Amino acid sequence: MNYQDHPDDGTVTRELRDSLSELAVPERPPLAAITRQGRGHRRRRRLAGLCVAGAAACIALALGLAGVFGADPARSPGTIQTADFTLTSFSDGTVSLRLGQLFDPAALQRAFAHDRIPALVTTGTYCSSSPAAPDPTRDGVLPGSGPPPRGSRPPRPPIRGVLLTANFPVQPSQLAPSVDPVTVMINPAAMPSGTELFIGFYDLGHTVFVGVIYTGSHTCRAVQEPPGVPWR
Amino acid sequence: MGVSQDSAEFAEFFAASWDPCLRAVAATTGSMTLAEDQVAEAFARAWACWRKVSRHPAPRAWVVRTALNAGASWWQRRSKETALASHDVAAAGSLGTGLDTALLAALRRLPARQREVVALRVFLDLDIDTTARHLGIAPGTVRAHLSRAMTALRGELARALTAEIGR
Repeated sequence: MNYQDHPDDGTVTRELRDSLSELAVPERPPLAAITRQGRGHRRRRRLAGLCVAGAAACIALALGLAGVFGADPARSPGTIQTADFTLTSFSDGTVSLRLGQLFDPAALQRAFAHDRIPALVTTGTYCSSSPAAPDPTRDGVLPGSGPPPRGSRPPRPPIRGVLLTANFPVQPSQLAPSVDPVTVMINPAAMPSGTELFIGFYDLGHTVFVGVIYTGSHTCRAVQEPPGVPWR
Repeated sequence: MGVSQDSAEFAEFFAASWDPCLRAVAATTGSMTLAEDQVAEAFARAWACWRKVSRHPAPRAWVVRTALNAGASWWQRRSKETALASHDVAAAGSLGTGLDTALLAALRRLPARQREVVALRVFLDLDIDTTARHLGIAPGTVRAHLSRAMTALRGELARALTAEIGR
């Protein structure tokens, strides 16, 4: 390799690729082991589908088959807790979502599915419906998250949802006990027919957006921050 | 598409993609042992929804990102075992020697998003637009992450080269 005081991007890329090609990797596992593991995932997905059909059976199955869930979030009655979030179901049908860290949208979406709450959870993407779904802060979907007091923020843009900002760790090396969690209450019973929750995570600004979209007619676009952040 | 054809396609994908995916994840996370588990889990998930993954524009990227996401919680739970900081590099020394180790260790010190971009753009050779679509961010953001990552890695490479010349 030629010495350069200031290697360019091409050199760095080549070095990285060379480093990678020299990595000795263990022999790949048998395909049968992968498919066996994959069948476990399929079973869990089917179970989630069955759960929609019967809540009591779902709870019994979920508790009885807790061991089947393997690395999925730890479950106790009414609560799904991971290192990233806690989703608690209450007897009145409401749930609280307490976010501590933001790295596994798929796990959060699975947790909502487990509680039979339709939700789309993404990172770096903002999804909205046209026409827009009703404002969840006004129709009781997000109780306690009503519109801000008059004068506390300019009236535009009219965001239909809540923005949560906190000291979320955005990379594993920053994970620390000093996490500043936030909690949002959700009332699924108030969600209009054909809608689902939309939860977007945004590294820039350490922001979470919680809103409601129509399941069948929404569009998503990549953004660094959701609308409304500059008015924070 | 029939089930047997699906199975054959997945088997072919698995055979061709295991090594590159495992290398990308191992280099990014710093632990071959963890990477092996994470990549196996990602391939299992790919098998479970193969009809969806097979239509993905970059199935290998899907596997790598799924593996990295699966590893995110491990990084927290097993931070003492995972080489995220320089003092941990020795623990993962099997990943390389000398210059390679320094560069890969520098890679693992990058923020998570920058590591993901490097894994997809550099290790899997995806173009900027495909990387952006896969990560759900704008192409300009991919360029920005890549530029920052390259700046950090250039500095590390220059130091490693200087040290190599000095030996």
